[in-house]
Amino acid sequence: MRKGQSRSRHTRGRSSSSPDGASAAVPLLELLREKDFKSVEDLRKGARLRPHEFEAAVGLLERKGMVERTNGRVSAQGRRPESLQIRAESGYVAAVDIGGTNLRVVIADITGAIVGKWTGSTVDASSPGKVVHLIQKGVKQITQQTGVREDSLLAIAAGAPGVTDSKNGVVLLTSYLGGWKDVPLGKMLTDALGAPSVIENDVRLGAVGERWKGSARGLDNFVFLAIGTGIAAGICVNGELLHGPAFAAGEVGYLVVPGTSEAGVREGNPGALEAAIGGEGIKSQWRQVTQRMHGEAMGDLNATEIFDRALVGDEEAQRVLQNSARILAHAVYNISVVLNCSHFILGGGVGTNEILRDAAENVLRAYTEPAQPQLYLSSLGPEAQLIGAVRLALDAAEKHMGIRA
Amino acid sequence: MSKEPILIGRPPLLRQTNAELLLRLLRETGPCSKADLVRASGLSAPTVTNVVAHLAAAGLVEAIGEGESTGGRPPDILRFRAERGCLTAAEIGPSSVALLVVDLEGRELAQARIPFTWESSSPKAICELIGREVRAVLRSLKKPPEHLLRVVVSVPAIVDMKAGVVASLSKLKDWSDVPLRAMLSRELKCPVDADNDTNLAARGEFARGAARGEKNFVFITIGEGVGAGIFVNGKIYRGARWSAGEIGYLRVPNVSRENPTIHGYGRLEKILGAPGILKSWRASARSSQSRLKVKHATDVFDLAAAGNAAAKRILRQKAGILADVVLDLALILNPGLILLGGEVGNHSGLLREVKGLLAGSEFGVISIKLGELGTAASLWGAVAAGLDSGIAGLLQPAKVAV
Repeated sequence: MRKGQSRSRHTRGRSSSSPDGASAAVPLLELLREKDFKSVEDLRKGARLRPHEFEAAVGLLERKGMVERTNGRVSAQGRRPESLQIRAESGYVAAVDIGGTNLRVVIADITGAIVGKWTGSTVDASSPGKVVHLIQKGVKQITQQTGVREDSLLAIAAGAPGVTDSKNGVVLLTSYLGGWKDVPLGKMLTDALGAPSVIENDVRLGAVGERWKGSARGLDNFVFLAIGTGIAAGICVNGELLHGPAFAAGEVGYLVVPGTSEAGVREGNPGALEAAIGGEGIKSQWRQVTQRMHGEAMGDLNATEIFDRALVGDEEAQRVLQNSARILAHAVYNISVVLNCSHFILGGGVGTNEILRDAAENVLRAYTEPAQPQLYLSSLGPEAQLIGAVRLALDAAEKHMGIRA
Repeated sequence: MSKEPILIGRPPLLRQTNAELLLRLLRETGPCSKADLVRASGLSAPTVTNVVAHLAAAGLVEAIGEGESTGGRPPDILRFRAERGCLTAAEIGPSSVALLVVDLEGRELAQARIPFTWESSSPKAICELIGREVRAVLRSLKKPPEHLLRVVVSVPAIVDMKAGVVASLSKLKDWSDVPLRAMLSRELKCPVDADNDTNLAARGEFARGAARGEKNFVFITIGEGVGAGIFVNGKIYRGARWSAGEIGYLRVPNVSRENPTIHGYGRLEKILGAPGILKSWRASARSSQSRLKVKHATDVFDLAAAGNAAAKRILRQKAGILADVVLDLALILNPGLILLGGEVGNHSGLLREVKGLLAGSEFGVISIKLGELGTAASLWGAVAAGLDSGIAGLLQPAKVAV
């Protein structure tokens, strides 16, 4: 309905600039990616398209070389293909996750299936130029190994660990990678690889990934809360990522809730919430609790080890677990109150800990007003960002090819 | 106008969309020619001609003479007939109903405030009261009842906008799951919308107050209770179940200590709202045996500004809690602006204190201001919402002569 209106508004009596069949081509492609159809007619019905819309969409995808029909046959309604296949090898996208220590590259075909992976290290190569070089190297290696032609690369999407202007492809600020500032990564990647690019914050990519293939499948309103060394939220409302005018929406590492430190946050230091329940925060809770109870800090344990101990009845570990769970529950609850959104996907090294999730869920049982938040574990784990990047790269490719608005 | 307008595209809907577009342009730019409308709207000339004919038949547009010629026949200048109808904004408060009647350009025609008692505050009684008073105002304006094109009601409650149902209004009698939209629409015989008062206040500040031109902002209101209206990309953000911004539920530090209950936390609004501030003042006055009489919560803030030590302490403490709320809202939503409003929140002393506290943090860059519309924000928001939801569709054109 919307589409019809807006198009008619801009056509001014001449033919539309958007190619015929474009509005139906994307959902059709999506269906072909998702599952097999017995017959072409089943596919058409599954896509809820009228015959002529279906024909237009198939025609467009065919012209772009993305689908192939076989056994064409002429009937009274016109040519109706007997079988329709997505041509997986007709194009590829690259997806990149730039981390503080690792850089991961995958290449996927247009069905979204990953055909090759590569991992490099950003430890000694954290400058933007070097990172782009690493990405180039990764793409080259994968294409060489898999026989994918580099000129069949349709688009590239990269996730950066910081505040990212996804509209202009600029990484505004990172605390990792030696601190990037206003890096035009999108343009740099396009220049290096000769393909359109998308740049997005890594946690938002995680949200995209979970919505496409993970724990948030089919949801229009949810929060992907990543808890690792840092904490951030990828917020999806009404089916769209929330960015905020300065692209900093969901930077909840600085959230203040009961139990977080009340000392003012200083620039460069971790935020209040991160300092409490980020990976390092939990370690430091452990040091403090054991110090208090035994007069000296007990060995350095990480969050997983501490929570495992809590599960078998270790008293100090249980204190840390309960305190962390309460703070996590408060943070989740506050976000859910503001957004009126109760579906939370927990990601990241600490976030995906089931013991912590269960303990936080226990706390949330008392928080029924206005709506009780529900906690789910990420089902994609560390792959969420990469899968989200594949999704955005496919979207960008479709846009570039003129089949997506 | 001797021809039946030709139907365009998917006729009724498309024509209505185009009609709303042209009306908005006429409202925004003032009288102009058809050619101007073609240029500004991007619609084709025949479409504009068609829609204008339709609007003229409905009495919403008229030609007011000839403009300047650029060579050929001088063009007709078209004018939006704002007097063709009126809209009413109604605000249901704890003890009164406020009405604001405007023309189709949103210019004020009349205002009224009608008190009611708790006994006569049932949904039915309130609807009848609004009906009676709206009809009276229209009579005094010498407007026929059918000139009332839309009513938007503001209620201090969560509203299911799809169903037009008000969830619960604890201060009034029997207000639980009230189908207010249907009830009032029957009473007034015109389309009605109901919305949450804080959302509408934000809408008002966006339309003609401190948030003009800011598509992403949060309006925090502090009065008897607290709440927030959230704008995302130029629209009210309502959440999955209509209760986004119910910040009275937020859990922030320093609340527990002041009001320890079994659950450990007092509700934020019991602390930050007017009763909470007065309670703090009484507690401190008792211990210091102060004789200063304070009637309103803002009196405490005024005393703080005048140097009263106890009042300063209270102000600082409330501002500290509010600063945490502001910080959390800013982190989650990253708005371009945060506005303070409401009877208590709209206070420069409070604003100054909160700003001071946030300046020390990394997020001192958050822009915080006071609302500009005061307690009229919700009414003006209702006007804006009413005008924006379209008026062309409300008018059936008189039969066009063939």
